[in-house]
Parts: sequence; structure tokens; C-alpha cells
Amino acid sequence: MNQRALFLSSALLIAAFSCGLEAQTTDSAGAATGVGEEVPDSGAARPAAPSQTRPSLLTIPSDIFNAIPEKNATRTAFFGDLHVHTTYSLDAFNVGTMATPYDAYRYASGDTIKHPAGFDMRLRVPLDFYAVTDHAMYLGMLYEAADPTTELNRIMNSGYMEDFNAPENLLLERSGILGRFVGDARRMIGDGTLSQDMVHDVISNAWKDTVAAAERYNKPGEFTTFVAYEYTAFSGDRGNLHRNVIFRDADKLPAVPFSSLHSRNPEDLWDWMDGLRDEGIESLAIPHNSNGSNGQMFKLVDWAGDPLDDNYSSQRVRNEPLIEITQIKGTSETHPLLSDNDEWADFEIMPYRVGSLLKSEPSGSYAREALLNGLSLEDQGQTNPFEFGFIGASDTHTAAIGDDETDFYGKLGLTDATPQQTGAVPLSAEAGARRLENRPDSTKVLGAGVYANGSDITFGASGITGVWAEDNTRESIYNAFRRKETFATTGTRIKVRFFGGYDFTDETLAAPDMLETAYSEGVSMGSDLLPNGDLAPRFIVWATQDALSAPLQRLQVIKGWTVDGEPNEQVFDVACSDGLAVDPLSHRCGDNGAQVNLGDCSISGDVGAAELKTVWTDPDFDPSVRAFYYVRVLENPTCRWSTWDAIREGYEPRPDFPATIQERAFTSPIWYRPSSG
Amino acid sequence: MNPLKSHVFWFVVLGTVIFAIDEQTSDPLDTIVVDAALERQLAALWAAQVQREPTEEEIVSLVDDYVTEEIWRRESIRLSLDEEDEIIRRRMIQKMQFIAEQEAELAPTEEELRAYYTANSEKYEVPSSVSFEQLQFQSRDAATSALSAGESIAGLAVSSMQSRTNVRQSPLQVVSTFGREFTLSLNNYDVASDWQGPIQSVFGWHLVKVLEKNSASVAPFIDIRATVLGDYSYEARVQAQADFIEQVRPNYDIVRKER
Repeated sequence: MNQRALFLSSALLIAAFSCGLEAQTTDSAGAATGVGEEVPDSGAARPAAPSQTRPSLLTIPSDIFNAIPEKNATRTAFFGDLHVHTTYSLDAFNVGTMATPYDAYRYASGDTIKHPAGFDMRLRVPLDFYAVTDHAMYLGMLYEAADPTTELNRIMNSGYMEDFNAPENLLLERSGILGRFVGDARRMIGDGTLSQDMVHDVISNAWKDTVAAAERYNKPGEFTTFVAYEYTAFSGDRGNLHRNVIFRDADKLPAVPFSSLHSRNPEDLWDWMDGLRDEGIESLAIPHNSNGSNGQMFKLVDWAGDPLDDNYSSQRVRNEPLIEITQIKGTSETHPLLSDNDEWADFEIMPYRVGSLLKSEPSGSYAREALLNGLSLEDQGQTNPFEFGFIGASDTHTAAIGDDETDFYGKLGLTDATPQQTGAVPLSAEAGARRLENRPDSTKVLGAGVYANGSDITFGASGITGVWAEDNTRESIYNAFRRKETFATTGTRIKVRFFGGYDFTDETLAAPDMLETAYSEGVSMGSDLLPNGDLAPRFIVWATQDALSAPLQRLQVIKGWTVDGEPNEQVFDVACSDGLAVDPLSHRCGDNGAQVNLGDCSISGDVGAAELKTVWTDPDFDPSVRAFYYVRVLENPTCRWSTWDAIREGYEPRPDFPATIQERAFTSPIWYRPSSG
Repeated sequence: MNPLKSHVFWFVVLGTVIFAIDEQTSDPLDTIVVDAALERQLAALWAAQVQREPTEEEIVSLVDDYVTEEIWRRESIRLSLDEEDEIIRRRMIQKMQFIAEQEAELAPTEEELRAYYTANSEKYEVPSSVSFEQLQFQSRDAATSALSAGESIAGLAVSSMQSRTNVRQSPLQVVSTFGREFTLSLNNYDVASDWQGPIQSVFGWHLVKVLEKNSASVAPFIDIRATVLGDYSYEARVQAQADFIEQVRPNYDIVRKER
């Protein structure tokens, strides 16, 4: 069945389902009343009289349905986003976003909110957890300065952006405003025009409101929010060093978040977090867009330029157990220049330094290489600074995530709301001519059309964080972050399990208590697997599809290892759809022939798997060699968002970008370390 | 609607009158008038920025700057630069649209807002939901025979990636997790304390225990008042623009020329 037909039938199905439920409710209305009378004094001594005097019409269920699920010892997959900007972020306000942190949490739990351009945004399937992460730098200040009734507006004389986001002003030119505001603010704070107290007040009020919103929507067992923010630092060469800081609790918090106004050096952020931890305030920081860091995020020297020492590494690992491996601004797993034997490495590569069109150096910018460098440092007897797990997030600047290829509205509000702005389809003749003249560096002529060619066209409709947690509460989900029992997807709700051990067999896989065995006899994603003599580890690799997306094509294990500090990597296909076998020499599945129709984005209905599951042993295992293993799950190909947009507008997809992608999931790694000696 | 009560009507009438008066009294393009009112205005702006009153000398300098800027502006008008500039054109359109919207921007009464909510209730629908437990089995036969296993039923199931307990799931959530066929089959079962099935999903065969069903409902007004107000204002603005165009469009002759 093709995708469009799938949506149509889903819609019909929902209609049928809803009608059925209404009939159902009417039927059971009387029953519900009867049960209601019984429940209050139920328990051990439920009166038996009614059912004896009025037998057989209705059986009264003895179970009491608890709306809050119990803790699941073998853990449940919960999905969320840990990177969301609202009107309090200066660059979100600048692109027209008026949605508040409250709106963000309403949206995540299923409500409809408005895009700055006026259209509705609603999740197809609500999320389980969400964290608003506004930029701490100038938090809430643009919002405040644009309001003509405030003291900040008066002092900053910010008439040039007065009521900037009022409906009549939404078409004002937006480039240049942010730079002017930041320049003014910096100068005025420097020369005392703007007092420290004033800045502190504005930021701390916005921060308090952010915390209040998280507290209001956090519902243990149903929906989890985290108090969080983004630390937004750049290196001297515009390398992106951004981190999101996530707090475990909300009862005790710093008055204002530590920002790049305090220091651009991430090591100072970790000092601050360590200090808070000593006071009982637990947090972790998640770096993102290492791809746009120009080699700075995972470089092998510290801020001062000295080689990494054990103090640096243990502090980094203590504060940064996770990294964001995929988001709208590209995927940071690896780069074709770094992994030339990985046919899937060229996936949603965003080649620029963040917020510019300067190229970003791949080395030092991608996760897989950093994991390998971490092992090399261990080979040299040093602490590994890069022992991290993976999450995915959106980095939306509209409060609503953009993870749906079929309906992607970018992340930058008014500046990337249309397919013409993103570059998915050509500009009008007039706009194209003007742009070629004014912004030739980010404009491209393809065939007869003139296209916007900024970084937006390299963006992806990605990503989501998956965690394995006992229940949907701050405590359980935060503990999963700390355990690194997390996975990232590029937007679809793929679920994936990954365990390492020595005793797993095909029988383990088929047993009803498989998960109990996996947890008791092995380790889960994000953990260290200790050696067991010379035995080769056996891994349980298991994934299921998102039935609203495409079926699965294959499961892969990515292995990285070092020999005397020299890095090596290998991609192993370990399970194939459609009964295909893995070739033992190439370690590749046979071709399942999945196709995408670029006329309407329909996909082959008869190939792919809903579920893939296997026990895998590393054929090249060497017990004396350090290694990491992580799982990559690949769906059958589907249309990229830019192709959906092109088709809707009646154009061919751009020839210089892939028309299709393979949505995927990445688990946190499992590390193997030989016995010392 | 009585045109005498329409803001737009009076806007058009007054605009015409002001335009007529303005034509006769305003300064020609090559006269720049500097008066006390202008000086006061420039001085106030300056004071807001610098936090003190300007001196006499500074006022002279402010006026000089103003005059120079006015000359630039008027020279650009002489060259009709304002007419060819897309940003200025869009800005003027926006300002006019905003003026036209002012009429609709009058905040709705609580009754009007509630009436709008009632008339558009389908926009505020909360989807139906179902809460259920599920167990997955190796085969249809294994599922069927498990039905008579009583308390030990869970021991006969295979490990499922999907949660055993699924609380308040919308139909689309169930489709996303288990596929369409499962969702349709699930709908055929009533709330009961017994295991029912087997039914098929994209993963295999399942037994289900339906715990609770909620039909689709409209979100209570009080919970979503802000959303309703946003929608009301948006539609009112669009309507106001359409009304305005409808009123003034007859004043224009649209001349279409063959190429």
C-alpha cells in the first residue's frame, strides 16, 4: 500500500473508530454507573450482595483500572524532545515566534498551536516528555525590549523593533534586527547605560516563568517536563559549542542560568554545574550541532589549547553523558570524508558552521570519530572524555517540533515558512532576480529556476529522543539519561533495544522472559560490558517500525575499535528484512528492492519488516582490544521533506539534493574494555 | 449593517476630507518647515536616548540633521524611489490592512467568543481514546489456547517491544504503534475484565484486555479560551480585510489591456 493510501485509510479508520466508540459509550453508560457505586468501598471486602440479588446481567470487573501505569521493571520506551525554543529566545522572537513555554508544553501533549505565519501546528502522535531550552544569553530580553511599555524598551531606545511581532509588523525585514539588538545590549551593558540589575531582573523573570510552565504541565505518569535552557557559546572561529542544560528537579534551581555572557568557555559551565551539584542541584549538559563546530566540539585540546588531561575528561564525562546526534540542522553521526566505507554516512549533512555559510571542518565535528578518539586516549592510559550516549532533538524555534517529512515547516518561523524560502522550490521570477542580485552567495540557478540556497535546504525533518524508563516521571527518565539508556531517531517513532552479554542465544530471543534475562545477564545500551575470559560478546539487537512511516529495511551494528591507538570502524548488517541473508564477506543484506514513486511519494507496500530481531556475535572479536558497538536501524526509503514540498507545488525535486532518505535510529553505544594488563 | 456605524465607512469619508484639505494646505515638496513643535519632538527623542536635555547648540545640530535627512527623503520621492521599492510597498499595504482590521480588533464579548467556540466546535475536538493491555504470542493458535490459561497467561506470551499497558491512546497513536488492522479489530471489543482476541498487528498475534474507552469530545471552553480567542481574532482580521476591499473596490476601474 502506498503512503497516501495509508493516510487515507487511517483517516477512514479513525472515523470508524470514533463512531464505534460513541455507540460503545452509550451502551455502557448504565454499566459505568453500576461500577461506580461499587468502587468506593471495594478492595478486599467488596460487598457481594448486589451480584447475588441481580445475577448475570452484568459481570462486575474485579480489576481496578489504575490510570497511572505501574513501574515497568523491564522498562518502556518514551519519546520526547529536549531542545525547544519559544518566544523567550532572542532568535525565536526575531522570527516572529510568540508561543510561550506554556504553549510549547500544550503542543507536546497534543494541543494545536499557531505557527508565526498563521497556520496550525499539531503533532500526529503526542510526545511523552518535553524540555523548553531557551537561550540563556539575553533570555527574554528581545521580548521585553520590543514591548513599548517597558523600561528596557525606553532605555535601549528600541523603537526599531517596537511591537515587532504584532500582526501588522510580521512582514518587516528581520535580518539585521538581532545583530543590532545584541550590539546595542553589549555596548549598553558595557558602558553602564543598561544596569546589571536591570538585565538580571529581565532574565530572571523569564527564567521563573519558564520554570513555572514546566511545573504546570509536569504530570507524573502521563507527561514529563524538564526545567532546561541552552548555553550558547561559539569558539573564536564561529565553531558551535552549544549545549542544552537539563535539570533533574524543579524544587531548587539557580536564580539565573549560566550563559555565554558569563563565559564562552564550556569548562566554566561544567564548574558551575559541579558547584550546583554540591548544593544538591543535579543537571547534565547535552552538546548539539557538533557538525557545525568546525572541529571544535570534540577537539583533542582544552579551551586553553593544552592536551586533554584526566581532570578535563572526568569533568566532561560527569557533566556530559549524552550528545544530540541528530536534529533539524543536520545529523552528526559521521561524515563521508570520515567514514568512507559506510554507504549510509552521507545522510542529512549540514556542511556549515552554525548561523553562517562558512564551511565546517568535519574532523572533530562528528560523534563516531569522537568515540574512536576516546578509545585512543584510553589506549594511552588516559581518561576517556567522549564516553557519551545519543539523543535526537528538533532545535525548533517555533515551540513546535518539525519531525514530519510530509509536513515540514523548518524551524525558523517567518524566515523558513514556505518552500520558496527553504529552497525546496524556485522563487518567483521577481524575487529570484532580486535575490540573485542581493544575496548571490546563497542563491542558485538550477535549470530555469532560481532557488534560495542557504543552509535551510540542508536542514532535515529530525529528530526525537527515545528513552527506556520504568515510568513516565522526571526521576525515571532522568535516570535513563544518566544511564545513557537512550536512543535517537530522525523523527519517526522507531523503537530499538540493544543488550550485550555472553549467554544470549536464539532461545533467549524466543523466551517469554527475554527482557528479564537480557537485563539480569547482560547490559543495556549506554553501558560498559566487562570481559568474560576470551569469550566473544553476544548482542541482542531488536527494533520495531513506526507504522505511520515506512517498514524497516535492516539492522546494523557499528563497531569502532583501536589497536595501539589507531582507530578502525566497520558497519555490520545484522538483520535483514524480507528473509534476505547477510553476505558473510561484505556484511551486507541483499537488496530488498524497496522503491519510492517520486510522482506522489508512495512507497512499495510489500517489502520491509515491521520487526527485526537477532542475536549477533562479532565475527572479528579480539578480547584484547577496546571497542564500542552501537546499533543503527534503517527504514525503507521515503520522500525527503523537500520532495514532498516540490510535488505539492508542482515542481521536480531539486537535482542537487537527495529526493529520498532512509529514516533511522541510533542507540547509545556499549563499550567493551579488555581486562587491564 | 448600517454604514453610518461602520468604522470603515467613516474612515473612507474622513480620509477623503483630510486628503482634500491636505491638498490645499500642505507645504510643497521643496519647503522644509522647522518650528517649535518639531524642535520639541527632536529634543524629546534625544533626551530619551541620552538621559538628559539637549543644549541649545545640540538642538541646532539635531535640526540640521533632520533637515539633511528630509532632503534625502524628498530627493528619493522626486525620483519615485518610494513607488518602486517592494519593502515600502509591502509596508504600506500592511499598514492599510492593519487600519482595516482595527474594526475587527475590538475584543469580542464573552458571549461572542462562546458562540464562536460552539459554532466551530469541531476545531476543538479531543480525539477518542482507549486504554488497554496487550500480550503478544508466537502464532494465532498460541494466542487462542492462551485464552484458557487463566492467571498464567502472561507466561505464554512472547516478549513484545510494545508496552503491555497502553493508557488513553488516540486512534492514531494505536495505528502508529500496532498498525491499522490491530486498531480496527481493537475497536470491536468492549470494556471487559477478560482477555479477548486473538487479533493481528503488524508484529503478530495478540490478546487484548480493554480497560476503558472514551469517545471523542470537545475540549471545555475554559481550558482552551486563549486558543479560541486567537482563532477568533485571526478570522476576524481576515474578514475585516475582505470587507474593506469589498467596500472600496467599486471605486476602482480595473483596466485590462491586451498584450
